[in-house]
Amino acid sequence: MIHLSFVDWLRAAPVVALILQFLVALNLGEHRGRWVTQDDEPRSSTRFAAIDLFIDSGNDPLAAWQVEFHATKGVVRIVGIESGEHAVFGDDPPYYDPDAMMNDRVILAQYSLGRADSLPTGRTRIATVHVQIEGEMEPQFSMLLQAAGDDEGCRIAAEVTFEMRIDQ
Amino acid sequence: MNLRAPERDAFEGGTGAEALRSDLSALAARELSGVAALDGSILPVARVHFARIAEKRRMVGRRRWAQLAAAAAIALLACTTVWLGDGRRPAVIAGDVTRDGTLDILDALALARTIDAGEVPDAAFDIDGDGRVNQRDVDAIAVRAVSLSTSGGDQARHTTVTVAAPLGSPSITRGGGGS
Repeated sequence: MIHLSFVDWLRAAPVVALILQFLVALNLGEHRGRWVTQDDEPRSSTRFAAIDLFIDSGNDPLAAWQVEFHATKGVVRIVGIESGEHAVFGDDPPYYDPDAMMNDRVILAQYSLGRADSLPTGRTRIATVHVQIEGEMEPQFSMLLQAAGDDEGCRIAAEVTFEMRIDQ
Repeated sequence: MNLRAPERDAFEGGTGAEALRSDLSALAARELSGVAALDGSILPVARVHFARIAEKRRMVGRRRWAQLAAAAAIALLACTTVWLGDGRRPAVIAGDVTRDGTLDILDALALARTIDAGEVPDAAFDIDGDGRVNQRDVDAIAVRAVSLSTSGGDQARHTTVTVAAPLGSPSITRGGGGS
């Protein structure tokens, strides 16, 4: 067995301190790397929303309408389309391109051959678009009226609006 | 030469008169030949000069006709553009029942109204090509109107409204626009 005197321990102390410092630094660095990796991992944030689309045709009876709706910002996918509130348009959903599903853009349209007094006037919900939203970015939507007509088939002026309901 | 009678008789009767006459004749002949030579040298130059002037005039005339033709073409193009933009152009889009140059749900509505009223629709609106114009053609027009790949619609007539939709509370966002 090697016997070390107190003087020998004093001489070896700096070398031992350096070795300990190196080992501690190596251990901390390894931990730092793990923390960065953990922070970079994206959080999973998927939510669903329902967007009600409205048309206000004023005093004109609304016999036909066509709107375009799309997300201009955010990761948004259309997952469902629901019919509006007025019975004259029936329970079937409006016309739309099936390619709009899982896409961020859709064109919706519907018409009715009902009499003028049975058609909606004023503000009415024409459809509901269900979307899936991913990520933290706040989505932005755009809606435009492509056509609106009365019971005579004449083009009429109308106003489009939408309301979004987030499913918590 | 105006000579009095006695002097003329003396002059014409003498030999000097004959010599003078022959000399004058020779002189006149020489001068005439010089004039002819001069004319011969000037005339070709003059002809070339006047030919160039005539050519220039013809060129100016042709340019004027070309300018008039260009102006007429521009006027015709402008009239055609105005005419087409006035909504009176013929239907060139399959299913454009309203003949307004766009394919939208109003075309489906127009054809559906025609069929519903028992009128005979235009055979040109046999969209599915089955030899009859019926509800299937109405549906075909509507499907084309909402197609994402061939979406028509006069975008210039419409208003786009973009409204941010906050994901936090409150969870209702409103947006709006009009035509």
